[in-house]
Amino acid sequence: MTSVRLLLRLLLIQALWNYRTLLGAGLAWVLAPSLRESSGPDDGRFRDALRRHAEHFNSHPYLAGVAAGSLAKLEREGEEPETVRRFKEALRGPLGSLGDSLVWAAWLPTCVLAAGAMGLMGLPPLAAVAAFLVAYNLLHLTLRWWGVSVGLTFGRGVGGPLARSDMPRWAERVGRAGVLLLGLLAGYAFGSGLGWSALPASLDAVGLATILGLLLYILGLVRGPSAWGWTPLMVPVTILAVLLVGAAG
Amino acid sequence: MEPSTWLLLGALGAWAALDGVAAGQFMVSRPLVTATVTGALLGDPWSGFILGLLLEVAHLGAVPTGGVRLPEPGPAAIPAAALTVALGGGGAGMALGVTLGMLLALAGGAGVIQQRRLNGWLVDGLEEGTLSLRALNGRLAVSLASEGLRGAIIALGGSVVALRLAPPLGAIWPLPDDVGWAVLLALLAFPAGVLTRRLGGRRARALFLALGGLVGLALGAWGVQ
Repeated sequence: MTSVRLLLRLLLIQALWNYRTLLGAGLAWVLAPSLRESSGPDDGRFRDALRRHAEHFNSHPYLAGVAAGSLAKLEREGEEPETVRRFKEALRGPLGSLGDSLVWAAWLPTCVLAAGAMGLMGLPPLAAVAAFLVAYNLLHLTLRWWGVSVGLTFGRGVGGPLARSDMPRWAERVGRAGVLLLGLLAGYAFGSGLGWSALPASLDAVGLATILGLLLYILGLVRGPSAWGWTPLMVPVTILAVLLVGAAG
Repeated sequence: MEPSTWLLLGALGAWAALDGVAAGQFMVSRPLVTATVTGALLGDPWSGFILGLLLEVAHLGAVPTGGVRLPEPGPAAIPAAALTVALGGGGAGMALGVTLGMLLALAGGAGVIQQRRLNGWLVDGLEEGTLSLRALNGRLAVSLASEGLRGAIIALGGSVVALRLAPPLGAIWPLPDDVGWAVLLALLAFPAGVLTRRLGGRRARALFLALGGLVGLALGAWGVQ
């Protein structure tokens, strides 16, 4: 199975994501052509391999290629099913945490904030969005391609390339860029006014809202991600309360 | 609105729902993208962009690790942007757009949970070896179709409701423009704080945040645009 075909199938690895096997069904579907090649004319062996790879598995979607590529190589080399199963088990944790910390927690927010900054400073909105999509997907597709390549090349030895990739350090650097951009956006919004006074002269409604905003920011900073769950209710409930006041008035 | 625009909004909603998890994850599903494109389709890309950015600030602090159940802001941003544009942007448009976007995102998240349960039913038999590859291919197509349909319904149904509600909501909104903005930005400061905590270590956060803030303040005050 060519790496291009594997890469294309990996784009749908999450299509069958479910609470029982998580990414298992998707991984089995991605590996199916490779398992067919490895099994040859033995349909029973193919079905057994498909069944084994449909079991519980999880990974960051962009790094699932590491698993898919290396498992395809192990199956092609005729490794024992128990060896393959233990290898899969060992891969789950690193592929999940590395991807989450680099992509979801750092690269995505940084790209979004960069696009926001570009838009606020004059780039037309659609151009800013296009820049976001191009920049974001440069890393996205590079990770997918890299994962498939190291998986198919190294098989059971993927631990070395994974460790050498230094993803946690890159996540840290990207995260710092994200914080810089967040500060830039907040400072720009404050400095330019954006529809309200930058430095309220008195404790009017805008002044009070500014103080409230600072307090809420500090609260969010102190409580961290575990408190994010307040946001989806806090914002709409408050705005709806304002609307009700308006309706009553 | 022209029928072709409705069609495009529905297609965008379907694509956003698919792209969110099931197919590709190229981030077309982000509210920044869907809201800006919606705004462009409705003649006000700038309002769509700002709304998308605000919805991003609201949702970026939530990280989709493992099977954690989160709102789905991408398709929801389409009717939210429709509402914002219909209200002419401004404090009222943004506050009400963000509210609609966040409420619909919660509904979308509930839809995602059902989709995942459906997926579990669709792959029944695979681990036991009783589901053939051909059947699996068919089930995959069903899952993708259902995901796209869900996104299209949120986009179109939500937009119909948004455009109907825009006039009465605009009429009863009580706050002046600057106060509306101030209240909205104050509320979004909380998820912004959560996002800051998520990005980088403590010393890095303080240093880079302050640096960015100073640069941004200077650029804003000097009217750089």
